[in-house]
Amino acid sequence: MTGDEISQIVDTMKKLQGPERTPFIMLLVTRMIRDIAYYLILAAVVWALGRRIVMAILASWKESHNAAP
Amino acid sequence: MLLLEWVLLAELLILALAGLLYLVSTKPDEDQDGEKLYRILRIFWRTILEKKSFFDLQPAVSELPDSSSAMRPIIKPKKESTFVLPVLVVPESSCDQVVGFEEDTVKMLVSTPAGSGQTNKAVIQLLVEVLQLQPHQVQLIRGHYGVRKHVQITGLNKEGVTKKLAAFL
Repeated sequence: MTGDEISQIVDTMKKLQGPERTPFIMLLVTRMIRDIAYYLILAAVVWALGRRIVMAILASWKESHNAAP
Repeated sequence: MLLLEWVLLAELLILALAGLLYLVSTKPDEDQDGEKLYRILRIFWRTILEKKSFFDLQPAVSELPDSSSAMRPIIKPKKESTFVLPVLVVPESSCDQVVGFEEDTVKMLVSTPAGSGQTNKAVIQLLVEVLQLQPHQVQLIRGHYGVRKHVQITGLNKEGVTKKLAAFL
């Protein structure tokens, strides 16, 4: 969810009274949970894959330099 | 797009490129550069597809603290002790033998020609004979295409391997 979307929802909520705000609060909370989960999983995948790729590049570079003539 | 998404995209592109180059380099070619690329990519893919724990938390038993001490290791040690032995191989020698140590690395002569695919077998065979082990206890884990190799010995710790090699020499 972008900053514009959040500010749009908050602006809408300001115009509303008590119980009418509940669906918007629910929307904000659920989207926040979804986005945090998405970024956490993305970060884990990027980190694990990147680490493997770097290790593989280093290993292949090292072994190719030590290759038998 | 978020920075993380760009990084993931770049990683996937690297993998796709490496896969494509690997497929191209597997074509039979007498070109030296083609063979070198094939070797590099084989090592690359072997390292990528290697089965490893996510955080590499399992150290060798020889690295664990003494289990009799008050600070017992949290990680359960393997039943059999293992030791990774660095080996320097000199291919195309007149005979197969272990000639000595060079800074904790065992220097070995093997008669098989370099790059024939027989050198690794000869190294394992020689270590099996010298250390008096079963073939399954000696496993090449690194340096399949190089003269510097790492061999994992199962059933012997560092002291045991050093003792047997010293007795042989």
